Amino acid sequence: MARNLFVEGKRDAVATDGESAAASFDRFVGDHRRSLVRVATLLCGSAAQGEDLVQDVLVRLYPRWATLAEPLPYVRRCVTNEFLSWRRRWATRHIRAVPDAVLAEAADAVHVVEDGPDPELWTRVQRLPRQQRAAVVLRFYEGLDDAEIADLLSCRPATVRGHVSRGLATLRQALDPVSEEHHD
Amino acid sequence: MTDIERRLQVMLAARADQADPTLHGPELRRLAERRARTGRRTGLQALAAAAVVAALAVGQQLLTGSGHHHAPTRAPAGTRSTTTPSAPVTRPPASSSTAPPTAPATRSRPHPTRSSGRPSARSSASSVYVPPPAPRASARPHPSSATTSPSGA
Repeated sequence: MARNLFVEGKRDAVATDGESAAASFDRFVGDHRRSLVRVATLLCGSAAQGEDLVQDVLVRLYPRWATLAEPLPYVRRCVTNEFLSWRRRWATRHIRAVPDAVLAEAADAVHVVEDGPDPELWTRVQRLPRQQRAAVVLRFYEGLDDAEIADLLSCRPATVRGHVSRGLATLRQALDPVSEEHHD
Repeated sequence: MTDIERRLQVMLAARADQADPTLHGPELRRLAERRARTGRRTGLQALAAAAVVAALAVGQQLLTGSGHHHAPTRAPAGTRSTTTPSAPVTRPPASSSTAPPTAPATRSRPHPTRSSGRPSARSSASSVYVPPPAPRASARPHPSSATTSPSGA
């Protein structure tokens, strides 16, 4: 499990003596863009949107980059918050001619075909509510515990447990409804 | 760890590996600097800017309107001005016998401050008396003033 980002990021992003904010920023982007965009991609559902999200965050943070003591945790938190709010803004900016219910029914009927590993599970993850999706991604991709996820999502650890539990139950039920009913 | 959790881990790791970021620090810095130069207005700032523009427009309109309002344009009704009769006459007044050629045609009531019958110094200095539409062959009556002449001529 990839348990990496918070620990390794505490040392290297701080501007050293004599290093300008621009050089520190460039070094940070070079070192962490991949991990940031990966998480954002899993949250948003597409690489393009994930990269846009990370770019928005970094561009907004650069003017006060010199004031950040430990940029990585802060940037990661900004990315998560931006995802949660950005999805809302994105939803208000895009007009959908077809209601979501109709789209969901069509997707169920056609069984969305998508490139990449395990497209069915990927599609189901993307349909989770954004809080649940964020909690699931941070738990099962980043390997964060409840307290760390709660800090990122600005909620309590019990809430995180609820998000993860409900998300897993939804996935389980969607992927194998018969055994889930039998299990219940 | 259950099957679905294991499957989830594998799938997320494989999906994340597909991401190939193209972000570069210098480009992001240039973008940030350009955005700082241009300035992104928040909704409140945009609203304030629109309000300022509207207030300026209203103020300008009021100033322009009051300038016309106090313009020395008319003599009391029924009086004839003593301005030189050699003033250029190009067309009859639009709504009043003493209105200058540039006066708006919609103003028909004399201003209260001008009811004394004497135009102000500014008035006499800047206005040109236009006689009532006399039967002159060279002057073509204005189409809009043909029936609105207060002198009844």
